[in-house]
Order: sequence, then C-alpha cells, then structure tokens
Amino acid sequence: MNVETILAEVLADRERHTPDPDEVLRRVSARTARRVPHRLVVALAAVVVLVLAAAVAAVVLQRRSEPPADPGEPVRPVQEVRSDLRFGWLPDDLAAAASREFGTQGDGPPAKQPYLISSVYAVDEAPVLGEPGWQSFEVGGRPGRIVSRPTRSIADWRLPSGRWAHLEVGYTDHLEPGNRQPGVENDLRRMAASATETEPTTTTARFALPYLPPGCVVVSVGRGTYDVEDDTVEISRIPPDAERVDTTQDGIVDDLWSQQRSMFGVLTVIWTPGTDGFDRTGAGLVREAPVQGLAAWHDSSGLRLLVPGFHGGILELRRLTDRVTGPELHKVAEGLRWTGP
Amino acid sequence: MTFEVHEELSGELRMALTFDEFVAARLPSLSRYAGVLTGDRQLAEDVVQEVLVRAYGKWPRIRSTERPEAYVKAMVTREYLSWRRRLARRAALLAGKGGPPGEPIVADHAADVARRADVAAMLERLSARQRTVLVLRYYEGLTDVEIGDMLGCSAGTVRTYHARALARLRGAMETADPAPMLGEAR
Repeated sequence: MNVETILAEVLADRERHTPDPDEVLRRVSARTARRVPHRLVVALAAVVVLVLAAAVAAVVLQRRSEPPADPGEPVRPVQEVRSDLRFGWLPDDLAAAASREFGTQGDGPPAKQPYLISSVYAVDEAPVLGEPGWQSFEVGGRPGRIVSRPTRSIADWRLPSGRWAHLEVGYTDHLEPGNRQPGVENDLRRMAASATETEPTTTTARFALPYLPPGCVVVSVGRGTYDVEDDTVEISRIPPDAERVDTTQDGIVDDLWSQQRSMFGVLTVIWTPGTDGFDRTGAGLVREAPVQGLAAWHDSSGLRLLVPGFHGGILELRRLTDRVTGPELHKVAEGLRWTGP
Repeated sequence: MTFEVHEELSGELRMALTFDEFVAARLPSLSRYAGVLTGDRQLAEDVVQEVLVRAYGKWPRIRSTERPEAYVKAMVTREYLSWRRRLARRAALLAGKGGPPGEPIVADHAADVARRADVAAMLERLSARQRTVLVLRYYEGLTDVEIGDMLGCSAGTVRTYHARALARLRGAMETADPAPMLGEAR
C-alpha cells in the first residue's frame, strides 16, 4: 500500500475529530448576541431579527464620539520588511527551475528532485555563529556559516544590506532508503556567491505601538491576515528559560529562536475597518476602563480587549498567555497611536 | 424557504443569501473540514467558532464574493495556520519528541496497520503548512494552484510543501523514530 493511499485513509479517519455543529452554532450565537436556535434549521427563522439588530448596532456605533486627536509627536512605525534572494548560478539539477524566483516560503521542484529553500532573515535577526558542526565561510568578504550532511546542506551569510541570507539544498525524498545524496557544500558556496537580494517590500501598520511590555518584540506585520483589510501585528516575548538550540534528525545543531521566534507569541493587535462586526450586547462582553476616551470591552476570558469606533474600525488586542497581563494589554491599547493609511 | 448553498450561486442569489442560511447549509461541512485539518475536536470547534464570529461581522462582503464557502474555508485554514494556533501545536510537538514506538510487523495486514499508525503519528508532527497542504490535496481534492490561492503562496511552494511532507511520511513508514526537523518554519 503506497503512502498516498494510507494518507487518504488516515485523513478520512480524522473526521472523528469533527466538532458538533450544534455546539459550534450555540457558541457562535452566544458570541454574536443572537437568539440561540436549538437546531440548525431553526436558525433560518431568526434572520429578520438579526438584520434589524445589526442595523441598530451600526447606527449607535456611528454616533460615537471621534477618538482624541493624535498629539502629533513622531512615533516609530510598526513595519515588516521582506526581501528574497535571486541566484545567478544554480547547479545543473536545479537549473530547470532557474527561471523561477525562489521565495521566502521556499520554492522548488516536485517530488524526487533536489529542493532549494532560500529566505532572508528579518531585519533584526541573525543566526548564532560558532554552533557545533558549522564551518565559517565568507561571501564577498562578509561572514557566513555552512554545514553539510548527506541529507542536505545549509548556509547562512550576511548580505550587503546587512541582513542575513539563508540557503538550504537537499533531496525531497532523502528519508527514503537509497535516496541519500552526497553533500553539496561546494555548490552551496557558489550559489551563495551568485545570490543577490531583491528590492525589499515594506508592510506598515496603520498604527504605532509606543508601549510594549518589557521583552516584547514585533515579529510580523500583515494586512488582510484575518479579513480583507485588517492590520495585524504579532508580538513575541521569548521566555528566559526557552530552549535556544536544538539538534535536527539529521544531526544539525541549529538556533531555534531565529527560526521560530513567532512560536513565543504573546500578543496580537488587530485593527479592522468598519464597526459592523461588533455588538456590544454580545454575551460575555464586559465593560472595562475606556481606552483613549472610547468605551472598551473585554470578553469573558479576559484575553481579548475590544475598542469599537477606533478610527472607523475595531481595535482588538488579544493576549495569548498569562505572560502578558490584562493591565499590560490595556496599557498597550492606551499607548497605541494611529498613524493612518 | 430553504436554500441549497452551492459553490456557484448566481450573483443575485448570493446577495440574497443570509448568514444563517449559509451556516445552516455549510456548518457541518466546515466543521468536518476543521476536524480533519486540526485532528483535535476542541481546537476545531474553537477555530470554526472564531471564524464564524468574524464572518458574521463581514457577511455582506463575504457573500458578494464568487464562492462564499471557499472564502470561509480559507478563513478556517488561515485561522488554523495563524501563529496563535501553532503555539499550541508546538507545545504538542515538543511533548511528543522522540516518536511513537514502532509496532511489530508480523503479516501484511499488520504491516498496513503499523504503517497507518506511523503515518498518522508523523502527520501530527509535520509543520502546520505541510499538513494543511496534504489535507487540501488528499481530503479536499484541490489542485496546487487552488491550494496556493488559499495559502497565499505559489503553486511551486505548494509542491515543495507537498513533496517534503510526503518524504517525511514515507520516512515514517520505513523508520520507527521520526523526529521533528527544523528548517520548515522560517
């Protein structure tokens, strides 16, 4: 039996994890402050009432006072800068894919072929040099590190811009017996020497965060993450006792933080244009101290802070763990500065 | 009046489609998809709930799209892939480090059972994106291009995720100690 067949069976078996739709509907209805239908079919009867309720809520929200004006002090924008690598030379077995631009998410040929993954580290990130098994090398006089195993070879080096590049070449089926390949260290060195960084693109949030709890750093800025036009900023706080270095299955010692910093996420700040998604009468919402003069609510868990009417949208702050407290969440919201589109 | 919410409603019918009608028709399907995607009933419930609350607020915009269900399904996928969910996944992954013990293979049927168990275990240990690609291809039957549209990446990237995920599943069928690899989540 081949792996695809087994996989299809395994996935079909996972249907047993399907949640009870009635329970989901009950919880959704509670959160949207709507009449709770006993069965799915009953939900159809509530349409008119709900539309009227939503309309009333929208009118009320539109009458809210405008938020206080920004004091005009310069603030540091919250932004993420992304760039990719282009290669002037590729080995023959990757040359067929040479016309493609390899992206930060990794791009390469289909199964049973060598693969290539390249990316550019975040502006303030760099690999840890001197880890066991890695050799030092230079690209254009700039420092780098390289490691080679029968399964794959990896190189990191500093680009002229100051950011660090990451390059990995391996074999897609290297875990299968007989498919192991020799290291491609020399190829990797040549590819690194031929690489250039693409023009960076910048995503800037429409708000700044002058205050963040100690140890917190912005790791991601996105637009349209949860909806069409939202701004979402994700913030991490690496715990002091976090595991820093790990060893992969094929024996490569690597830095966990630089690769998976977002795994230590503690806080998400979302601004969504429009206020039609908010219903102050929603079950579980509790009024709390105003934020920048606007009425604010938190949910029953205390993990979400909602500020409707913030510059024509809904400001939402979510703390993911107790490592950010409710007062800290409120302080982040209070300090948040609107910088505009 | 009842609605059958098909993928390709006419524009007029789409605009008349209420949120409740959509939910009544599609919640079971969305819940099943979330269950297969997450492999965790509680997480699936949380994901679908979160998405529907958001979809409720944006329903006029969503129903004006060509395929409302595909849009909401993409929201489910994104919600699952969001780092907040991966945070929980990572905890599970580290807790399971070392891999499940292999089962003795004594006959063809037993071998299939053991392989299925190994593949199921390794599926849990893939990166969230790799697992999502496999679910979208082998459960939802989407093409690389459709998966790329949903995940916001190229078809080539989807093929890479797919190839590497399958390689690890094949490895799980051959070895009894699949360990997580780094280099997937940069």
